[in-house]
Amino acid sequence: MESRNQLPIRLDSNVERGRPVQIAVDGEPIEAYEGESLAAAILASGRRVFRHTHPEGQPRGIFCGMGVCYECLVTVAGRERVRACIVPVEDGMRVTTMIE
Amino acid sequence: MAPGKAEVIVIGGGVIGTSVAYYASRRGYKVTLLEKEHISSGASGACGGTVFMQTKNLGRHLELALKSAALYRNLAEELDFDIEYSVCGGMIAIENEQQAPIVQHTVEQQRLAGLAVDILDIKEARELEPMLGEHLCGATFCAADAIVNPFRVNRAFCRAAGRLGANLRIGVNVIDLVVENGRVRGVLTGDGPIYSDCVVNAAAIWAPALTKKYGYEPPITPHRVQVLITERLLPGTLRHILLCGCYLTAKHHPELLDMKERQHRLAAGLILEQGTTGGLVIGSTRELVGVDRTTTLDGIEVVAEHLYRVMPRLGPVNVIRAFAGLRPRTPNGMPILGAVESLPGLIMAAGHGGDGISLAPITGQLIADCVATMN
Amino acid sequence: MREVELVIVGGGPAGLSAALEASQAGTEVVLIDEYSTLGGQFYKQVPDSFRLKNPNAEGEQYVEGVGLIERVKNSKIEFLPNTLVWSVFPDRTLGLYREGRTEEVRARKLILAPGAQEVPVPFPGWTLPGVMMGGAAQSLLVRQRILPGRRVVMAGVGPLQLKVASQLLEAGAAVLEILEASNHPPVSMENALRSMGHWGKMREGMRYWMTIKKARIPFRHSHVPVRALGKEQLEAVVVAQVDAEWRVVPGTERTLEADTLCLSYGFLPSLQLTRNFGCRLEFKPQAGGWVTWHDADQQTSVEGVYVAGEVGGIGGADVAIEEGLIAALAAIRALGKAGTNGNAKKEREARKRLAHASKFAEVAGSMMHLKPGLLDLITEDTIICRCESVSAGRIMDAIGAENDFTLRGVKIQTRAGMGPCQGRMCGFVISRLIARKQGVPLDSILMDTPRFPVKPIPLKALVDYAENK
Repeated sequence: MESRNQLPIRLDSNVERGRPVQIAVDGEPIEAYEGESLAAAILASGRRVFRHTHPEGQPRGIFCGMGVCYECLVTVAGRERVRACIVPVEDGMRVTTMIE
Repeated sequence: MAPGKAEVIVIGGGVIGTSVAYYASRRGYKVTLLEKEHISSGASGACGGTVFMQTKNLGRHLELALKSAALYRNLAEELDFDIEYSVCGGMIAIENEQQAPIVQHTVEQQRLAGLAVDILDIKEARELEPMLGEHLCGATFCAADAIVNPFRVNRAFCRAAGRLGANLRIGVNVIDLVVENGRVRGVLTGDGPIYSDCVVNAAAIWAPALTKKYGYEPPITPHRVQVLITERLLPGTLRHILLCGCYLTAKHHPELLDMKERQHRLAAGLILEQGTTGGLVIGSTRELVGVDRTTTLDGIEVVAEHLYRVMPRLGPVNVIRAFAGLRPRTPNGMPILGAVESLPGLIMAAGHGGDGISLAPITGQLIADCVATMN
Repeated sequence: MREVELVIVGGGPAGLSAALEASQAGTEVVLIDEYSTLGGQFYKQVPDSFRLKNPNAEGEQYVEGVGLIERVKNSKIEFLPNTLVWSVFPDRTLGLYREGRTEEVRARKLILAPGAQEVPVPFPGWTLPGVMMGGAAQSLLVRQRILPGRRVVMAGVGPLQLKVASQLLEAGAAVLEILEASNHPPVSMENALRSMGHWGKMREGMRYWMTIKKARIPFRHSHVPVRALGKEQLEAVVVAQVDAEWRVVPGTERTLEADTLCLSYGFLPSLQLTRNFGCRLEFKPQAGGWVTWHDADQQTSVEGVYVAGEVGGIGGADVAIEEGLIAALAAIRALGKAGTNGNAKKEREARKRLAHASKFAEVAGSMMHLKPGLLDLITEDTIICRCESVSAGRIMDAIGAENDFTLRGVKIQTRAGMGPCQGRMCGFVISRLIARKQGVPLDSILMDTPRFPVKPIPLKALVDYAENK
């Protein structure tokens, strides 16, 4: 159900990212940089499906990109479910995408 | 049928009104239901779906509830509409030692009256309902408690009544009764009079206003309940409908409540369910503020606090909405059902308090009986 | 509870403009934004921890934003990032949620500049990952430096998508086609702008147009996406030609293999805060429909509450900047802090610029008017309420059932609007579906009662709020 292919990549032109941080998505460590949105890190890891609706099982991902549509909800251990497009990554974040 | 005339008029498009319309139509009566806004525009659109037996007063109240529950069991099939009814069982959380003896006593009385209720220690309770906080003393368990979708119940009654010939007139405001020589002869609406010798007053908090000037004022007072809704959680996060023990304290030993505490000032008691789509419906306060459906910070906080005390693991859950409903309560908690002696032609079906959903089916059936007796 | 002279909600062009003006005059200013950086949707910025090798290479708009944000940093403005205004109370009191905690602040004067959202236009398959708003693609590019997709189709109406297409091209994406729903080729907008003396906008537009032309990207006016196809994510987009009313011309469907579809159908003011305050609205179809009414000083019907920018009517950044300035000047005056030097002149000039900018806004607004044919893209199975997965079929059945044509009634029957987005993605279309089915004007459809939380907050935050008082 993951979408691991060539899609979204990090662009380097004209930018140096912040320091790398350790985050895990669905148990797997992924590349992330301080200050990035969680959505950006997730997309850059090749995942476009952020969740599936229950019970219909429809795949959903980024839609509005500005925190109003609540499609990009992910669970962050120890916190409420958050909008990945709004929330910056933090060192040690453990994120689950698969729960509705 | 001549225009402006009906066999039976039902005032109110909440679950009570539509239930009466259905059961009366099923008996062959030509029913005209009058609703001033839209179906479920009042309390029936601002509620949860708990069908508790444990909260009913022993005697007539519990008897009605059990009969209603029996009707619920076949209702979906009968109305050909999925009302999402499930006999999931209910639990009353015993929060502290003060509540324990009160709960104990209540359960003993319930058992004597024939309602099977168990008292579980916290370990057993958490096996049934893992979200309960470890620090609680225990909980009751009653297998007969159930859950239903209140919006679907109302639609189901509406559609079935319509199929049986009932005339549902929405957007029609009943301004007054038509009374001649002390008898009710119909109603006066914004669109003119409609005549009938049998008028059912299912107007909930508006019921007294209609009859007051004719010397009958049923003791129905609006009580505001404030409710929170959460985001969807995995199915089975809550497996039962729930209540807190302080509800019983407030009911049986209000003198033990410390009125300085905001929780008690707002008469807040926790009532909790997980809807079919997964969101939690968390209630509620019980406030005397007249006809006021504003949600207040005090009210929302007190409900949130209470839930958090009983289920601390739900702390990170997002609250996505809050709303308020007005419950038509009577002093003894019993609905007012039946013909009004001082106003022949009028049948009351109002004052259900927070039991509207639980008692809708039996109310419809009883009032249909009343209609038959009257005619 | 903390009381502040001037609280400004929203750090976009309007909020920045207002904050800088007020702060300059010595007013205590707290500037609140839900996001981590200032700039709003117009001055999108990279995160603070990223470093731009050559900021000037980012273009005029970016650099303008940097400048404004620098000025804020060097001022006494207190910026509260990552802060959600989740509730409003009488007396201009705001409930805030930030850093996992809640707090309250009371504003002596309040400027609400929460901006706008993009118009959600449903069609079959629009919920597939890969279908996103144009602004989302732009945010990923400009803020996060992420390429949102490899094979992109652009769709919508008006000039914004030319800009995003151009940005995508420069970043290395393949833009397959740009679909413009109206029958206005971009050249007619340029003519309109030139005739009004909006040289800057015209030059900007021409620049994007040149980039697109150079890359030989097909620009098709009178075209819309009609279906998004794919299993777990977008794989192809079916596009078709439309007539003048945007109704699909039969037999013109074509399928494009794409992994990304960007939708830019215009903007809607974000009215939740102003509605919760009880501010009067007015209906202005060319400015985004319902907008917050305000007087010439930007004050709403609620005393001490001002608005600036899109929330008062979609007008773009230039309008927002001037309105922010005017609102600040009015608020400062009301606070009794207005010095006499220069303000009258400043205000006069701002109003002149506002009038000029408003003309552009009107032109843009009229060209971005959505035609009824868009509603015909919706089929029985098209999801309208995304949060609750409610289909158009269910909604259409509910509209008018038991004679109930209210939004609230549809909500109760179908659950549409009961999810976490609180109707932000579905209200627009459901209102139109009701108006069309009932045969009534759009502005007669009443919205549901505004309540808090304005956006979801965790239960624990409500509990902590209570405990901290």
